[in-house]
This record gives sequence, structure tokens and C-alpha cells, in this order.
Amino acid sequence: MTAALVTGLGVAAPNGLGTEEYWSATLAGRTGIGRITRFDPERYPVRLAGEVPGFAAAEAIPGRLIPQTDHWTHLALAATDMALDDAGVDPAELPEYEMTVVTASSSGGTEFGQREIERLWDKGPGWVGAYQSIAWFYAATTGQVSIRHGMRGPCGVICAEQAGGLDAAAHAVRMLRSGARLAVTGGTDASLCPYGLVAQLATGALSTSDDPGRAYLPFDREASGYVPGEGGAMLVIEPDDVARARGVHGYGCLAGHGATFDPPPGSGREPGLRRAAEIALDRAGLAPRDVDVVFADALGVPARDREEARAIEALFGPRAVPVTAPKTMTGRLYAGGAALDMAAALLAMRDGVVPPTVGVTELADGCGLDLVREPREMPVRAALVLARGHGGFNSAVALTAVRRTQN
Amino acid sequence: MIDDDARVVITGIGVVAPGDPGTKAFWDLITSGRTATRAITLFDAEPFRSRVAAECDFDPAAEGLSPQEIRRMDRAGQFGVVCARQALADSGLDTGVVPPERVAVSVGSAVGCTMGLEEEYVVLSDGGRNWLVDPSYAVPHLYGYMVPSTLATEVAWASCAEGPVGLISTGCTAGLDAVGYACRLLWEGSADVVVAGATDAPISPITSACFDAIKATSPNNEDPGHASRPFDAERDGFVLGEGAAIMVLERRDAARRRGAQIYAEILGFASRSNAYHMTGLKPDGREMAEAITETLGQARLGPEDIDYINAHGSGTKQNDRHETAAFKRSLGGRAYEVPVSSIKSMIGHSLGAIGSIEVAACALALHHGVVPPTANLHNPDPECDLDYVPLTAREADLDVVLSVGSGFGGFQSAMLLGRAGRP
Amino acid sequence: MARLTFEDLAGIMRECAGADESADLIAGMTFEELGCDSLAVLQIASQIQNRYQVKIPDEAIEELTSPTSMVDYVNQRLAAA
Repeated sequence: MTAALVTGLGVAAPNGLGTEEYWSATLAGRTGIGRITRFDPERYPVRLAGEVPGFAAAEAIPGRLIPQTDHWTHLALAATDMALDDAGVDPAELPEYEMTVVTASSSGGTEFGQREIERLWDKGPGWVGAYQSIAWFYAATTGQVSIRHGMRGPCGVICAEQAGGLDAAAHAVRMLRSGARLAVTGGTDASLCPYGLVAQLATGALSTSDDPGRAYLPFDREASGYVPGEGGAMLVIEPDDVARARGVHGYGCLAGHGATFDPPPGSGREPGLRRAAEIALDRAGLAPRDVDVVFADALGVPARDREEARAIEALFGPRAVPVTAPKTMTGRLYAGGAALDMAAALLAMRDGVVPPTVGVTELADGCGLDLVREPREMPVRAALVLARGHGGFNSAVALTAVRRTQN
Repeated sequence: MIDDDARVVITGIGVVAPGDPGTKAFWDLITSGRTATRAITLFDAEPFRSRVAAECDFDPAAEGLSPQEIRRMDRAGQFGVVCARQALADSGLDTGVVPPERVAVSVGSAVGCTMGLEEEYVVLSDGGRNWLVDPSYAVPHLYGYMVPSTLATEVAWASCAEGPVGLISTGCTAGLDAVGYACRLLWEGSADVVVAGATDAPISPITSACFDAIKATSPNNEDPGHASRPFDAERDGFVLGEGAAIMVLERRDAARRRGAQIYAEILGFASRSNAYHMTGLKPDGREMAEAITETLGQARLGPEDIDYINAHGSGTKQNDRHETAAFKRSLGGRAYEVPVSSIKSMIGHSLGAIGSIEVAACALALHHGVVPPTANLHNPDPECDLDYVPLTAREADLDVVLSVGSGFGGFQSAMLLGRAGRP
Repeated sequence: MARLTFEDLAGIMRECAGADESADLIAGMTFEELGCDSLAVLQIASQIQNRYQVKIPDEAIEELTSPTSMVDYVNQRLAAA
């Protein structure tokens, strides 16, 4: 069976707009976390977030799309352009029904939606604009990307909070298996408006620290929750034979995916993360010893960190695999988070270097991982990306540098 | 092409549709030709352009939800969980016997928990007065309203599912696409049972206002019972609906082995995007036609095999013509012979949920040998010149039926279902 | 009394449709030629209704296919008010 090769990356991350900007910042340990600027966060207990720096929609996307879409979709349209450019494909030259778009979505056009719902309640129904119907809903990004690039194949939108990016990528691979020759996948998120932040506060999982260097410390003794962020990554994937025929080697293959759901709260049974990882490795035809690095979900909530550390240890053995969480420099990007982790893993393969987890100084009890805290130069032939979504979702994707066939 | 041992069947159905809840009430309504559209009661619609909707007479406590579940879930979640429990009970499947890691969930929704999100917003913003909303009034499950995946979480808990769980949100084709996604999980062997369907509860001020703004919904406030008029020359927009349908899907071999009741088989599913406009449709119906043709190919069937089409039939000017063109384009002369109907004439358009409700209607149509009618169709649009089964249901020997959906974003989906016991 | 000028409309179009054309240019073109689709026209009409406190009924919007027809219609309504 053909393998799904990632041939293009586009990144809009809090520590770098553009793939190389993101990657050099990440390897340098430069954080994108800072005080929220999109609104005045003073009155809220959480004032830090990862915002994409220097993003000007007017420079990045066609002017006519700006008023009709949310910031979330602006970021995705810009990242898609980058990814297609990176892949060296011109969609206009490809068969229209053989191109698809499958994105992850988590909270939709939150800021756009808050503006419109405010007009409704403050002024009345006649003040709600015509674009609310197409900007806020979760399918807006997939629809706009499909329209902009004339991609008429079977498109999709999958929501599983932070795990959705991996599920969307897996679905894009399914589309290649059933005949598509190019898929745009990934996701972005931008829920940094007052209502978006307040909704996130309700989970109690956000860090209330005001120190950008110490706020998000997964697996650390002082872990106190996570920092939210905006942005994400878009990926272009193609069947490897199609890509090779046009002389493209790509970054690596989406070799296997596994998705599971946790037992109901209070069951006392093991969460589903380990099983998701096992399924992903099995489908990729990999054994745990073949995996060179794990990109952790790294929630930063102590009990959940221990759960993840246990799952990694159960699968690989104690301190047997390097583990990293470059999201410590971006915050958690929800629908964009797992896609960005895949991009980081593929860049790690390309350059033979594992990006660091920043801020962590002392590992918490029960989190005895080989946590990569400085860039580590080493060949990366296979990487495992883990993601968990609020509510019980677990997903894992195995990426390989060399061609592996999924069974 | 679907492998013979991967063929997927529907063994349980749970529906909460406008009017009285429950699968039987739903089937009785849509075969009677009565309509459940009425003046909106769920909120004060006085300042709105369209004040008509198809509402569910739904009492969560009477449907068996606990006080905690009622507090935690917004209306869409409540619909979904009630339907999931009904579908599982109807399937006769013992969830204690199937390993939970082999049970998957695929739920579609277009607007997620928008009703809960809006109600909480009104409180936190003090009636829309404060951009910097006040967190001290937030309910603990507010984040669960912001992420639509909560709907899949709730259905997974109700189904004891620990396999792949996902929320599909392709706007108004989400209900069809979620069932299609479930089929893929079964075809590829990622699960043995999928609890699949869709739920939406969009009859709220913000959703009404956003359809008012683009004049998509019917302003026929004087005659709410006849406001949804698909294919009629006088149609003036769709009527907002709400509800859910959740089904139990299994591979046919397994269902037969356990002696399950089989409503219908899913013979194929395909989708396309028009890449044309977020709300506009190309008059030629090309992408919907492509999706229909592909499902026929998957099932190794031709246009002459289709015995009934459950149309999207939303009742907007452009949709009904677009879809009529798509049927002609994909089915040729057969389009003029096969009965086509829109149950949205009776239960309105519940956005993402409707696709699954229509799949349930198709399964029941195959099961009972009855074609539901298109209500309110008195003066057909001359450009809609097919047999739309006006006003009255028909008994018919149905073997293969087609259900289609079309939605914002340009998405077009088609699913082919067959009578249980087909060779 | 408030009037809708081509400059005003060009500003509203910039905001509502990302259409960055001058007042002189829009006077001689249709919304379609200016790249404003049906949603953009609805958005523009809704902004005008709210800002100028003038009612544009559904039937009228369908006829207002150009900036010139929009300006004329709105100013007639304003004068009649």
C-alpha cells in the first residue's frame, strides 16, 4: 500500500511565523509565551498566552477573505499557502476531485463569534453580520481552504480538542488511500478573546503564573497547568509514489495512527493513551525500540503528567526513549497543537536534532522520563507524537523518515 | 469497493426529532404528512425576521436523564445521549459483552453546544454589555460547551466506548459524514461497533440571527405549519429544526451471528466539495452528482437500482434546483422515475443533525416499505420537475435508497442504503 | 440630514468586503464586478441600515446590484424620512 508522505509544511506558531522561523526559535529555546495583547487580560487570573507574532492578515491572505473569516481561519489560510509553496505544488494543475482538505477544529471562530453575539445581545438581531454564518462554525477553515485552492475531493473536519490534529491527519491518509493524490491537513486555533479565555479557565487546568519562563512546566515538580496559545500548522501530504514521480523526497511518512477513548471518570482503569500509541506503532510496523523520540502531550497538570509518563514507561521501559515537549514554547494550541508537533517531529528528522522542552528544572516524582531539555543532535528515523483531548480523547501518530507500509 | 466481510448494517436506531421524541413518533410523523413546524417557543423571537422553527417537545427528565446530566449537558448533548441509549437498547447489543476498546463513536454536529455557549455568554457579559466577560459567573462545564467534541464525549460515556471517538463537524453534511466516517472505521477494522449519528440544537437567538442576516430561513411567520415548502414554487427559505439520530452500526456478519434485527445495510458513502462559495451553489449540481456516482460505484449498482431518494430538500430557492440538477446529472432518465422526497418539509432543517435523521428515515423506509412524502408541496417549481411524492406517503417495495446532503462550505455528500437481506 | 456618499460607501465596502477601490471607481461598476458576492452585499446593506437608520427590505436588496443603485436608493429613503 502507498505510504503517505508529508511534502509540505506551513507553520504559524507563537514563537515563529513561518516554518524556519518557528524551527530556529524552537531549537534556540525561544519562547512565544507572553502577556496577552489581543485584549486586556488584567482582570483575569490567567494573563499569559502564546500569540503568533507579527501576523498581518492583510499581507498574508487575500483582502476579500479577511472580513468574512476569523483569525483562526486567517492563520490556517496563511499556513496552507506556506505548505503548498513548500511542497512545490500548484493545485490548479492537479485534478480537482483528487485533492482534499481535512482539518481539525476545536473552538471555531471564537473571537468573531464573541463580537457578533455581543452585537446581538447589546443591539439586536439586525446587527449580526452576514459573515457570522460562515466564519464562526467549525467547518469554516476547511471550506475556505477548499475554495481558495479549488480542492473538490471529499473534505473533512474532525474535533477532538487537542487530539484532533492527529485524527484529521489520519483521515487525510484514508483519503489518499481511497484515491486522492494530495491532501491538506492540520489545524489552527485562536481562542484568545475574553469569552474564549474564560471558557478555558473553567477547566482549572490553566496556569495562573505570570512568569513566561515558569508558567508551563510539564513533568516538573512545579507543574501548575498549561498556557493556552494560538496558531498551528498545516501539512501537505501525498502518496509517496506520486511525490517521488515528481522528484520530491518530502519530510517523512505518516506511518500509523491510533485513537482511543479513556474509560469513564472514576473507573480507576488505565487511561487509553498507551493503547493509542501501541496501535499507532503496530500500524506503522514499528516496535517501541524503533522509536527515536516521543513528542509528548505534556498537559502540565501533575496527575495527567504522571499518567502520560506511566504510559510512556509502560511502552518503552524506564527512561528508554527521549521525550520532548516543544509546546512549552508555544502553549497548547488545541486544534493546532498536534499538527505543530507533527511538523516539529518532521523537522527533527530532517535536521537530525530533537528540539528541547524549556523551563523544566526538576522532574516530578512519577515522571522519570528522559526529557530532552537542550537540543539533542541525533538521527531521528521514527518519532511518536502523542496527543490528548479534553473529555477523554487519545491519539498517537507514528512518523517515519524512511518509507514504511501501514498494514 | 467494499469487501463482502466488511459490509456494514444498522442494528439500532434512536431518534429525537421535532414533535414528540422517540423513533416511533418520528416515523409516524414523517409518514403522516403532518408538520412539526410552528412559531418559536424556545426563546422570544419577536425581533427576528424568521420566527418559525421545528421544535422537539423534549423533557430531559422524562427521557431518563439524571439531574446531573441535565445540568452538565446542553440541549444538543441531551438529545445525543438520549438517542444513543435508545439506539443501544434497540440494537439488543450487550455492551458488557463487546470489549469497550472495540466500540467507537462518531457524532456529527454543525454548531455543537452553541445553545449552552450563548446562554452562559449572556450571563457572563451581563446581557452583551461587557466585552471583558466576568469569569466569576462561569459554570464549571463552560469549556465543554466551547468544544463541540463534548458531544462525542457524552455519547462515548453513554455507550461504554473506548475505541476511536470523534466529532465530525462539516456543517450541514455532518450527519451524513459522521455515519460515513463510522463506516470507514468498520471497513478498515478499527472497531466492531460504532455508535454513530448526529445532534444539533440550533434554535437559539444567535443561530436564528445569523440565518436572518443572510435571509436563508423562511419569513413565513403567518403560517408556520406550512413554512417549510421544499420544491414548491412559493418556497422562501428553510425552517430551522433541531434533534438527533444515533444509530448502532456493525459489520453484517457479526450482526447476523448474534441474531440482531437489521434495519438496513449501508452500501456506500462519498462526498465532494464544490470549492465554489461558502453558501452559494453552482446550478449544475456537479459535485453532488459526482458523490452520487461514486457511491453507486462502491455498491456496484446503477441509477436504475435506486428506488427512492431522500433529498436534502431544504426549501431554499437555490438548493432545490441545485439538487434536482444533480439527480438528473448523475441518474439520467432514472431521475424522472424515482420518487424523491424531503422530510425537512415536516421536521425542518436541524443543520448537522438532519443528515443522520435522514439516514434513520431511509433505514426505516427500507424496513417498513414506505416512502415518506414532501409535505406542503402544492405548486411545484417548474424547474423542479421530478416526482417529489407530494403530501402523501406511498407504500413501495424498496431495495436501494439514496440520501444526500449539502451544506455551507460547499460540502456535498451521498449515502446509499439497502434493504436488510440483500444478497 | 445624513446622506450616503460614494466615499462613505467605499469605506463600508472596504470594511465589509475587503474591496479596496476608490469612490470614483465604484460609481461606474456593479457589486459583482467589484468582487462583492451576495454575502458581501448583504453585509454592506446591513451596515448601511444600522448606521443610517434606514430600512432596506428584502425585495429591494435584490435590485441593488451596484454602488450607484445603493447610493440612490438609500438617499431617496433618507429624503423621504
